[in-house]
Amino acid sequence: MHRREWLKQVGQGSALASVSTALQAQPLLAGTVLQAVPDGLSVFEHSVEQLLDGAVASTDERVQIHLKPIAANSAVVPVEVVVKHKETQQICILIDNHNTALVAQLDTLHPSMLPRLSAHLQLIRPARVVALVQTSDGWLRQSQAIVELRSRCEPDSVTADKP
Amino acid sequence: MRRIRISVRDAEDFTALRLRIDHPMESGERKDSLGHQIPPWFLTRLEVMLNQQAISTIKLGPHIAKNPAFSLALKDIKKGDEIVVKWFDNRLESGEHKRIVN
Repeated sequence: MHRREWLKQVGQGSALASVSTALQAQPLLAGTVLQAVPDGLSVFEHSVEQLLDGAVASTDERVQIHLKPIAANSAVVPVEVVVKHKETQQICILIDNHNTALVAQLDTLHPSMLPRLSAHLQLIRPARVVALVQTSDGWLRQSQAIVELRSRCEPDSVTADKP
Repeated sequence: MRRIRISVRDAEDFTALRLRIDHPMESGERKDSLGHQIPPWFLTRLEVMLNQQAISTIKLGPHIAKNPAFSLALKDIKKGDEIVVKWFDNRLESGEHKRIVN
């Protein structure tokens, strides 16, 4: 084989190797923070679409979000989701206006688990908190906005990029 | 090794299982005082087991507060039950903690 042809083949091989390495690295990145989002969709919309998988979530009073609209400390924002539905399968808490939408996804399939979850969020900017709940009647939805973040009680916080 | 505190308390009509895990929970959206992006470092999953049986998994994103605290509601919990909580983070660290209900 001529040296030029051999170099071409080796070059193509290494290009393919680098492409495959990049493709393998994508799930790891997606698992951390960066998410590949289709054009025209926000990170939040894409996450909701992935969770619902074609289903429609209807707003329902049986899903309650306990949250204050003004967060005194943006680093610790308490939120509680309570579901008044006996056959709840999972509770998902999402936020918009941030680089990642999914905050927590709790499965409640075991009979010992009751459909209730509380946690503390850390927010960079005001956001709408959305609870998506999968039940035997389909997906239910409820949302509430945090309209103002008062302060962040941590010395190392300086700035945050826009989503 | 990260410290996990598990507490079990009777609430109105259920047992509240409270979990608190020492973890920095960096979202990856913040910058330090020099303007450098602080890399993400957060819990990705918690698994809760009751008497060696998995009862729930919680998938987590980066926007949970530092040293996260969660409260779950359980029923039919009695003295002597064993609760085990396993945690996993995005740096592939993991650990577990056990608590006997008294």
